[in-house]
Parts: sequence; structure tokens; C-alpha cells
Amino acid sequence: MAIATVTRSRLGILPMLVLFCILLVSLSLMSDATHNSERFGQLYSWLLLINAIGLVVLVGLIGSNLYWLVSQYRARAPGAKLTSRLVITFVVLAVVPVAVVYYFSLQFLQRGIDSWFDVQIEQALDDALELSRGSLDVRLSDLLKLTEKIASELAEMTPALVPIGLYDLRVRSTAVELAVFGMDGRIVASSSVEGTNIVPHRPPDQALLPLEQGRSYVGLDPISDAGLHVRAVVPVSSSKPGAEPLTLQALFEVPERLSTLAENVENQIVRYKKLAYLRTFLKYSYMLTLSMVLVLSLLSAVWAAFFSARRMVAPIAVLAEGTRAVAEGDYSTRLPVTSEDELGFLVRSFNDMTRRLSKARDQARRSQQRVEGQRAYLETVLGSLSSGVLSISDTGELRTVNEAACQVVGIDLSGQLGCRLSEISARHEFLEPLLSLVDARRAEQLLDWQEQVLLFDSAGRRVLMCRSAALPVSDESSGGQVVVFDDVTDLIRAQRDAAWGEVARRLAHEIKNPLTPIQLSAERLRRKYLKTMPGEEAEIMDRATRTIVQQVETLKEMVNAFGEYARAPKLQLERVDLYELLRDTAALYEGSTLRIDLDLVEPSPLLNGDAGRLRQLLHNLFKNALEAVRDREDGQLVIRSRWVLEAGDRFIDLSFADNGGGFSDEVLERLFEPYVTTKTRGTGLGLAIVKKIVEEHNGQIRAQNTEQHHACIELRFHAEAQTGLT
Amino acid sequence: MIAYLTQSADRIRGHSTRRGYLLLVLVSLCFLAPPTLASDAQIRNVRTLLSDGVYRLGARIDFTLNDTLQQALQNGVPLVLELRIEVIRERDWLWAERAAHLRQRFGLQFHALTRRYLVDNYSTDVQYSFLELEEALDYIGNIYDLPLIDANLLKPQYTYWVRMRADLDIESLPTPVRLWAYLGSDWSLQSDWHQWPLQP
Repeated sequence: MAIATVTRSRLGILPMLVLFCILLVSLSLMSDATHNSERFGQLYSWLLLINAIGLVVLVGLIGSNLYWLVSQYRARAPGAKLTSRLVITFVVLAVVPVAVVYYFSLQFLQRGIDSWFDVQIEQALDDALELSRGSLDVRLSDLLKLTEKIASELAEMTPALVPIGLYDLRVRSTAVELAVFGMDGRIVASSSVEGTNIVPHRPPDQALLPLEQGRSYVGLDPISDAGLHVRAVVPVSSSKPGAEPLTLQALFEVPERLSTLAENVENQIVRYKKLAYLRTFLKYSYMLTLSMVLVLSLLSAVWAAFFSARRMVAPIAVLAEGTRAVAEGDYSTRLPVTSEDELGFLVRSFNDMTRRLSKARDQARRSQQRVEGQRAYLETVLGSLSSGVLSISDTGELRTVNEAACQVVGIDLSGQLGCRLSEISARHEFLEPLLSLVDARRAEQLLDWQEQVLLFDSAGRRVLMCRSAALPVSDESSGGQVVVFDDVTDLIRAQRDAAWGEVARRLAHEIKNPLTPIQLSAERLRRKYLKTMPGEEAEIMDRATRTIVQQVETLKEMVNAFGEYARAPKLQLERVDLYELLRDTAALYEGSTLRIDLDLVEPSPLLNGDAGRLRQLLHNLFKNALEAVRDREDGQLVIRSRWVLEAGDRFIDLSFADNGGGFSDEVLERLFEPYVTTKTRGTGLGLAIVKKIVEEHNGQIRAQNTEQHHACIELRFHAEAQTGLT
Repeated sequence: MIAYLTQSADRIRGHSTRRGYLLLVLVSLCFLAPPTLASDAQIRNVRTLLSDGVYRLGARIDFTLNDTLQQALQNGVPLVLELRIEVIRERDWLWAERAAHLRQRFGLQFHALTRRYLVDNYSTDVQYSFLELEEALDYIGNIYDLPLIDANLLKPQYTYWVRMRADLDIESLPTPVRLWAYLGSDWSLQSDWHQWPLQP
């Protein structure tokens, strides 16, 4: 828009200049015409019209400019205020001096024109005119007398001699023309200097009127195509009776000197009187011309003010528009350079600035995209890692954490970003060993290390393999470290289980095989030699062989148990009602010292499992509890159930809480490992087998001590409700 | 009177009197000369006659000059009176066709030295002098035997009209008064078109 305005303004100046020139020429011609009506008088009306039209055009232009300005001002367009201020300044600067000049010019005009005319001069001129008339009158009366003398001479002549005598008389009297008319107006005789002029000039009616009263006529008359002449008309009164009364007309030239003087006086007086008479109009005409000059100048000044203000402001408005665009973030703005002055320099600088800004912005955007790409790439890599990754700033704050890290530690750490490690460990005690290790190593300025960390939570012990590496220090990052950790608990456990399985197999193979021959041999010894032995020896024999057989039996049991543990029989999966199984199994212990309380929440859970293995699991737990409360009179096992909805899946939680002595801390750590027992008897495989069966059924198991330091084992299975569950 | 009314109206409204004065000045400019009798030209006794195959015109125009024009004349301002005569044929749908047109111009001035009115007939370039203004105007207004148009140039199937008007030629007035004459003040003298059928 602003660019269009500039172009239009540039186009607009040429026609305007032409208009000004025409108006100026027209005005100067008009002023000439007012002054000297002969030269340009013919054009005066046209000039007046042209000027009026020019003024109307100017007024129209100014009106349109004013309208434009007002609409711009209302629209709060950039530069509108500046334009109006400039226009007002220009107009005031132009109007004030011109108005002053106009006022004084008018005063001079009024007084000047009035001072030309003076009553005394007028009187003197009138007197001069009167003098001229007097002088002419003297001349006229002389000529009248001469004519009367000629008439009296003619009266003496006979009519036949009149034409001949007339010539003589004319020559003598120096008249230009002598003519004698009859009563009926016919020409009786005539004599003229100009021979060609056969017909004499007839006297006008007004010259003949005095004759009727018997008087003569003399006057200064214009003769057709011959200028002023003295005309004398006198009656020719003949003394002869019966003679026709005739009329003599004599035309005399006015003496040249007299004529010239009289004409001069006449002309000047007429000129003066005309001027004096027209002076009011003359004043108005001058005032009109002056006013038109004033109005033209003013309007031109106003228009020029608009024009220059708009031209001056246009680049500023363009700049303002451009600046606004830049402020709104559009760096692609390029302004047209319309001039070579300071404004042009400003516009060029602005263009440079926006070009650089846009280049810088593009560069920043590119590097940001690159960084974001790298970041996304890293996040993808980190996200797909099964290892937990934490990055920690050099000041000990958590910077990034990946999904796997949260899964491994079971805590959503993404909300803790920016927190110091000590704060996080205060919030999550479980993580304390890991985080304090990191802090400790950092305090030692040791950033590259590898260690195994043990974490303890309600689910048991977790072994994490941690590796730390220092992050490079660069402009963008201030170093720090990255800690990668893996949960190797299951791995270690699997290794341990595999080792135990191997042990069991070997036991079965290496120990169980010789046991049967040993037992058989002992029984054979007993059968064969007991009867033959004397009393005391027989007693020893009996006791020894019985011990051997018993111990071998025990050994066999133990080996079988190991075999049981190491064996991984194929599960016979079916729909099992867990409550029913619980109740059935619990019923078997009704006669024992253990009181089993069932606190089960309906509906009954159905799970996909091997009923035999699950029964074995329950037996092991009940046996465990029985062992634990063996020393108590009021031994009891409370079994509670609870439905849990987690991540859209339904689970059944079962807790087995006895009132025995609970687990010691050492035992709790490795409770589910084989050969870990608090009991004096047993293989130490009970809970290991329980855990194995739970895991075979995709369940979870954990053990803890209650507040009263009783043992409590919790199981969780994925289950379906037998009937609808809300 | 208008100026007075304008001023009183302003006073009643209580507006700035300066604007009122401005208006007053402007209105006075328009009514510069005191109102006098308007100059006039009455066209009478028009007649056409056919002689020797040429239509000739006779007419009588009574010119009345008002005080302004008479004073101007007395003060040496020459006046030019103009008679415009046209022979036209009216057409149904178009403007009238002009078959012939004549202009008769007369210069009228006062000769202060001899106290006579001089009439210049610009068509014949002959000057006449009169003691009285009426005589001079009579001379100008008396038209007789003015050849109009050759009868052969007329088409017999059409009806022709003659029309005539008498004006004071404003462009011949001194420059300062022309504007006032155009604005229709006492300086103007204009008759309407006087129209009659062209008959032999």
C-alpha cells in the first residue's frame, strides 16, 4: 500500500506542475489584461474561467487529500499523525506570511488607486475641455461668419451663376466643400476639394432644424470616413423677389494643430474620466486578481504541503510497517529503496538488518532442528534400550531419564528432573543406595566407574549393574555424567537356579544311586547277621543298621526333594477356583495345631493353572506356617484375599500371615533361595519351590514382616472373577 | 437587504460576527451597484418582405439604457450593441438548422469635446453623430431593408423562421467590468430571442 502511494505521488507531480504553470501564466496574463485592456482584454474572460477551473481542480485535489488523511487518521495508519502534523506546519508557514502580504497589498491597492484621482485634477481637466471648446467655438464662429459672407455673396448671384461662383467662393474661403440645397433638399450646386466625391455630404436633420427658425447652424461634425469637420449651414436669403430660398452648407477642415490638440485633450480627459469612473471596478478587478493569486498560492502551498508531507512520510510509514512486521516475527520484509538520501540509507540499513535477522533465524532454526533431530534420535535410542539411563549434571541434578530406568526402579522419575539426587533419595528411600553411590563417586571426582548396587524394596532384593561415564564438557553442556544400569537380579537368580538345578541333578545321579545299595546292604547285614550276633552286639548291629537305613531314607527324601525342585514338569493348565483349592487344602490341617482363618473376598477368583502344583504351593505355605508356630499354643494363619485392578488387568492378592517369629533380616534377603531356612528341619526348599510355582503361574510373591514381626507372604495372580465384579 | 437579514440572523444565532461580516462583504460585492432600472431592448414591428428574390428585414428595436450604462457612456466608456439575426429551419427531432445568420454591430460612444453621441456602424464603417442619446439609439434600433437571405437558398417544402436578439457585447466592455456584466448586474443588456415565421 505504501509503495503504491509513493508511486502515485511521483506520477501526480507532473500534471500538477503543468497545472501550476498554466495557472501562473493565466494569472499573469489576467493581471496584464486588467492593467492594459487592449493586449489581453479579449482573453480576460477566458483567463478568468481557466483560473476558476484550475482553482476548483486544486480544491478538489486538496479535498481528496484531506479525505485520505482523515481516513488514514481514523484507521490509525502508520504515518498519519506525522503527515497531519507536517501538513499543518507547512500550511501555517505558508498561510501566515502570504496573508500578511495580501493584507498590505490590498491596503496599497486601495490607497494607490484612490491616490491616482484627485478632484483638482478633475477640475483642471474639465477646465481644459472647456478651454478647448471655447477655442473651437471662436474658430467656429469665425467660420460661421465666413459662411454667412459666402451666403450673402451667393444671394447676389443669379441661379445660373451659382455653380460657377461656388467654386471661386470655395477656393477663396479654403472650405473643403460648399453645397447649395434647394427647399426640397435637392442639390442645387456643389463644389468639393475631392473631385471624385460628386455627391456632397448632406446636412443631418439636427443641422437643418435651426434653419427653420431662421438661424444658422455651426458644429463640429464627424464626416463619414473623413474625421471631424466644421459644418456650417446658413440660409441663403436672396433679395430678389420670388427667388427660391436656398441653404448653404460649408465644410471646413479643422486646423491640424487645433484638431490635434483638441483630440489630445479629449482623449486624455476621456481616458481619465473613464478610469475615474471605473476605478471601483478596477479596484475590484485588481483585488480579484490578487485574491486569485493568493488563493492559488495558498491552495498550491496546501497541496504542496500534502504532497511533500506524504512523500516525506511515505518511506517512514513503510519503515513503520516494516518494523511492525519484524516485531511480529516476519523477517522476510524488504522495503523498496525510493530515494538516495538519509531515508534511503535508513531503508537500506533496515533491509540489511532484516536480511541478517532472517539469515540468523534460519540458521538458528536449522541448528535447532538438528539438535531436536539428534535429541529425538537419542531419545529413541534411549527409549528402546532395556537398560536404565540417567544423566546427571555436574551439580548433581537429574537431567534426563529414560523409560527403561523408570521401569527398572519401578518409580516414575520423569517428574523429578532438575531435582538434586539427595532430594530424590529423600523422597524414594529405595533408590538411596544407587543415588548415594553416584553422589559419593562424584564427590570423589570419579565419574567413570562400574559397580553392582543392591536395592531393597517390598518386592525383595534388586541387583543393579551400574556403569557411569563422564559427559564431555562443551559450550552447550557443562559435563556431568551418564549412569546406565541394568536389573541383573533375575539374571543372577537364574544363574543361581541353574546352578541349584545342576546340583540337584548331580545329587540325584551321584548320591541317590549308591543310596539304594547302601540301604539294601544295611538291611541285608541286619537280616543276615542280627540273629547270629550275641545280645549286646546284636543291639549295636540293630541300632547301626537302623540308623543307616533311616539316614539313607532321609538322604533319599532330600535327594527327591532336590529332584522335585530341579525338575520342571509340564504344567497341566486348567481353570482352577483358587478359593475352593484353598478351602480344600486348609481342611487337611484342621486337626493340627495351626488354626487357619480364611478371610476371602467374593467373588471367587478363577485362574489358569495347574491344580496339583498350586496345591503343592499351598501345602508348602501351610507347612511353613505350621513350622513357624510350632512352639506356640495359639498358632494361627490368617489368609486374606483382595481384588486389585492395575493397568486394566484384574489381580487377586492373597496374604498368608502367621503369628510366628517372622523372618530375620538376613533370611529376608535371600528367603526364596534354596537352602535358606530358619528351621532346624527341612530341606530349605519349601519357599524356593513356592516361588518357582508362583513364577510358573506368572504370579508375584513377596515376603515381609508385619509390624508385630510376624511373617507375611503375599501372592498375586492374574485372575478372572467367577461372577461379575464391579 | 439580504445582507442585513444575514447579519441579523447571525446575531440571533449568536455565532461569531466575524463570519457574518465576511458574508456581508461577499453579498455586497454581488450587489455592488445600487439597484436601478434594468437596461432593456424590445424588438417590435418585425417584418420580412421579398423583393428581387431576396428576403429583406425591417424591424424596430427600442433600446433602453439604465443609469449605469448611461453614466458609463457619459464617462467615456464605449458600448457595443449587437444585433443577431438568424434564419432557421425547425426540425422534428434535431435542433433547428441555421440557414443564415447576420450580425450587426454598432459602437456607441460619447464625444466629450463636442458633447455628441457617435455611432459607428461596424458593418459599413460609417460614423454618425447625434446630439441626443435617444437619437443615436433610434438610429441603431431602426433596421430597414436589411438583406436576409436569397430566396433560392430556401427549400420550399420547409417552414423557415427568423429570429433576432439584441445584446450589449460584454467582451467589448472595459476589462474590469466584464465580470460584473457576466454576473448579470446593471451592466448587462440582453433581449430574448424574438422569433417569427419567414414570410414574403
